[in-house]
Amino acid sequence: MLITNSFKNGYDKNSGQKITFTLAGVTNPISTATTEPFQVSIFYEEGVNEVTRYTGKNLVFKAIASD
Amino acid sequence: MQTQSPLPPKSKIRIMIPTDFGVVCTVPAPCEGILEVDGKGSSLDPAPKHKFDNITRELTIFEFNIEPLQSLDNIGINFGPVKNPAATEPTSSFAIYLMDNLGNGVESVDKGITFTPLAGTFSHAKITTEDPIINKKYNEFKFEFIPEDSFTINATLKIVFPREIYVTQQVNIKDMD
Repeated sequence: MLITNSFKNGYDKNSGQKITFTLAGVTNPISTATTEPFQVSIFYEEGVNEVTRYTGKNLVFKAIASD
Repeated sequence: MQTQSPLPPKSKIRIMIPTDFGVVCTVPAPCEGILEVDGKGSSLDPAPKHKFDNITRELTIFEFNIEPLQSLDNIGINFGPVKNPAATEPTSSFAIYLMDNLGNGVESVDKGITFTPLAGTFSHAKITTEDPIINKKYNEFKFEFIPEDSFTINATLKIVFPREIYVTQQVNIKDMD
């Protein structure tokens, strides 16, 4: 999923401010197995001129069983 | 760097630093933003005199060698502080000019000396939802990030969802700061 020109003021790292947003319209996994990690990156041109690429393995999601 | 030609003692180096690098000047010209220059090697002055012009981006290092340098001798120079570029695109080329002790040009190069930074990361990254029940449709996921690097309004954010999570074409984004 690409979100372009969404930072109306850009971002100043010295602010230390959190970037927060909510995505709606997502369907949870069909089981309680831990998912693969989400991958997040910020760039001007992918693979050419990048700013930030998150490669941590902790961005996973584990659904819980229904009643 | 390696010189092709011999250099007498007290030669001079001019290094043009690409504008992609940040150099903070605390006073008007001559800029003193580059505070430290170290020569590496027994033939070099370990702390040569220097000046930096922030307008021309020219760092001049005076009398950098104590001993004569022979052809193919190595010249090691550290300087700083400089701030790395803000994105991973290769910089324009540094230009380097070597002059003898009388100021005559000996060697120069102004192409191919570029720097390609690596991408940064996030100091904080978290994804949560208030409804984690399996198969929940039209759910909302909240994302929180603190990037370690600044970026401008033109930047694009890319999120790759795990294959186990289904994202409809009608996904909406809200509360974007």
